[in-house]
Order: sequence, then structure tokens, then C-alpha cells
Amino acid sequence: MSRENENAGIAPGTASARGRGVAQRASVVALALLATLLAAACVVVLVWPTAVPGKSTAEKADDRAVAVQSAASQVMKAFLDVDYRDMDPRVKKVLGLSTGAFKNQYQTAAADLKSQVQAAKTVATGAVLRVGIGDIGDDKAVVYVAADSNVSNTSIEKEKAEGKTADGRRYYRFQLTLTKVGDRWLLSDLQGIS
Amino acid sequence: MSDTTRESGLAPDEKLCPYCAETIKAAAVKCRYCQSDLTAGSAEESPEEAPGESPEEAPGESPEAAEAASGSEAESEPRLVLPGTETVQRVGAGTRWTVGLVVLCLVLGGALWFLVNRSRHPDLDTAPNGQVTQSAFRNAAMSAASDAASQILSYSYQTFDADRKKGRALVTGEAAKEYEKAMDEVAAKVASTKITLKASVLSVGAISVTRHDARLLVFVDTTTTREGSQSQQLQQSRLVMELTRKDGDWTVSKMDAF
Repeated sequence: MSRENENAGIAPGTASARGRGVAQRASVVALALLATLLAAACVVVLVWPTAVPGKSTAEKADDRAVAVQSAASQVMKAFLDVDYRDMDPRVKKVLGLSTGAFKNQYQTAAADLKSQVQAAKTVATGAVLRVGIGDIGDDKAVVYVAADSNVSNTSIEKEKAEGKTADGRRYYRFQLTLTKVGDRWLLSDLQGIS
Repeated sequence: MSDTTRESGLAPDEKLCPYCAETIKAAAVKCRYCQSDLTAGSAEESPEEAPGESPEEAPGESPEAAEAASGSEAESEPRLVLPGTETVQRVGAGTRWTVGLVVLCLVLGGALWFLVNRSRHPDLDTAPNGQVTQSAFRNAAMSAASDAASQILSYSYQTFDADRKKGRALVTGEAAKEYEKAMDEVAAKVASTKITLKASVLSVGAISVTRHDARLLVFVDTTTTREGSQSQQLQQSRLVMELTRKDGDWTVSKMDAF
């Protein structure tokens, strides 16, 4: 024990212990600060997807798929909807849901279509049963549609009147190509798969 | 002290010279008998030491006294050490805090690494509703459905058992029972009519694809050929196939024609 320490009433090693204590307090503070920062970082990473405006890539892709399926279903139903008594709004609806090559073809064939359904007195109602996405990109998608239709026309009615088994039920398999125009998915190509 | 003085026959103002043992005045600084200087000895004496106590008395301390002294020293020691002890206790508490905080930092660091790694490098792009949007994953499910439909719906009277075995390996659960039942029903007819069915998958579309399940729309054409006949019968089908993913492989859990 040094005379100074003795006079001060300090036990041997107290000074060095006090030094160690100070260093340890400093390290505790530093570690506490680090732990706080790490905890804050964890919270930020956890809440980031909901805190940041907008959606994740997967969410956007799923929204796109839903939009494509909905558009395909809507245009397919419009396409299969036929009534010889009032074709103009039906044709107009299909044209409004289509674009590109299909729109041009349908527009060109619209006059013939109207005259045929009027001649045959055709009435048909379609039902879309399943829509499956074959391929999808940012602005183009290939979609497969299974649809049924109940058709009534003069030929079927005649067979029924003759007592023959006339089935107006139609089963379709379609491949649709949809193109994104603005924020809408529109039918740009339609192929029957047979 | 006074008893000792009375027993030695010394007056209160007298003391014995430590050098010649003659009686001298208590206040004397020099022995009048031997001329010894008495100041040096006085300076070394403890201020609390009674005048007249000889230096030889110190070794004569009783063990009890020594022990008492030691005891008092032991009693006083904690008072001296206490501040240091407190420091030691604080150091001990500090060590516990340090260890605890290091462990906490390690745990939080691990959690942060996991969260960042998960968000930056997800194994699958999955929407909140569970739909996997990753093209490669969806294509794998569609490809598996195509292969399975071709295999399950194709069989020949010549290789019926082998075809059935291959088809059986691709189905699971309820679909496996239905497959076995259907194959039992057609087995005899296939053999007797000597027919061969060849299924061609024309297209597959994904209705729904999650991490473990997929629902797919499949368009299939099946041609049936009878042995010795040139004609073929074509059947156009629409199927909804449900596939289940296990250990990275897709197997058919349900298959319905509609």
C-alpha cells in the first residue's frame, strides 16, 4: 500500500479496479447503444413492406395476373353472348374489350356475323368455366379459357321439333392473347383449340 | 498506567531512564545520571503511548492482545476495503451487463441478418395471398402437369402394366385411388379390344399456384387406335389438374375432366 493510498484510506488495487469499472461502464453504454440500433433496424426491416408506399414485386405480379384473368373472362363472355334481335351493343362491347389484329378482324366480320345470326335467329349465352394463364409479361399475356355456351337457332329448334336429339350445348377451348393498352388488358388475338 | 506507577514507587512526575534505569523527572529530555538523550526515544514513541512504558513491553504483548489487535485490524479492514469492494461489486455487475448486452446484440444481429436476407433474397416471389408469381416455379408446375397428363392418359394393350405403373407413380392421395379404380375398369376392355390411347397435351394454363399446391387448366387431345384398324378416334378434353409439391416434386392429387 502506498503512503498516499494509505492516507486516503484506499485499499490496494482500488485505483486499478476503479479504472476497470470506468472502462466497463463505457463498454456497457456502447453495447446498449448497439443493441438499440440493432433492434431499431429489425423493426424497420419488419415494417418496411407496409411502411413504404406501393406494393412488392410479387404483389404487383399477382395483381396483374388477376387483372388478366378478369379481362379474359369478361371479353370471352361478351364474345359468346349472341342475340340476333339486338346484336349492335354486343358487337360494340366486344370491340370495346379488344385491340390490334383481333379488333380489326372482328370489326371487318361484324356485318357478316350480324346477318348470319339474324338469318339463323341465333341466341347464345356463354359461361366461362376456367381461366388459366400460360404466359404473362408486363404488357402481354397468353391465357387459356374453357367456356361453355348454350346455343339456340332455327336448325336446333327444327331438330327438336322433329323429335331428334338436339343439343345446343357447346364446349370451347380458347387461347387468348391479351395486350395491355394503358391500364387495361384487351383481347388482341383469339384462337380456338381443336 | 497509574497502578504500574504506584507499584514501581515512582511519583507522578517521575520516570525511569530507559538507559540507566535511574529515576528521573518525567519531563526530562536528558538523563542526569547517564547523560543519555531522551528526546530521540520520545520522538519514536506513539503519541498515545503512556510515559514510562518501556519499548521492551511491546514484544511482551499477550496473544489475546495481539489477537485483539489483529481482530481490530480485521474489523477495520472491511472499512478500508469497502470502497474497493464496492468497486469490485460494481465491476461484477458491469460484467454481467456486458455479457447480457453482448448476447442481446448477437441475437438482434442474427435476427436482422435473417430478416434482411429473407426480404432481399426470397426463395420464391410470393404475394401476400400465397400466390407464387415466379415464372420458373409456375412453369415447373405446368410442365409437371403436362407430363403427368400425357403419361396418365396414354396406355396400350401391349404395355398396359408398365404404363399403369408409370401413371401410378405420378398420382397421390385420392387421385391414386381413383386412378387405380379407373385402370381396373378399363384393363379388361383394353386387352380385349387391343386399343392404344395416346394423349397429347395442347396447352396448360395456371389457375392458381402456391408454394405447395397448383391448380392448372389442361387441354388434351387423346387418340384411340384399335389394333388392325386404320381409323382413329379423337377425344378433346378439358382438365383441371391439382398438383401437390413435396420435396421439390409435383404429383397429381386430383384430375377432373369437365
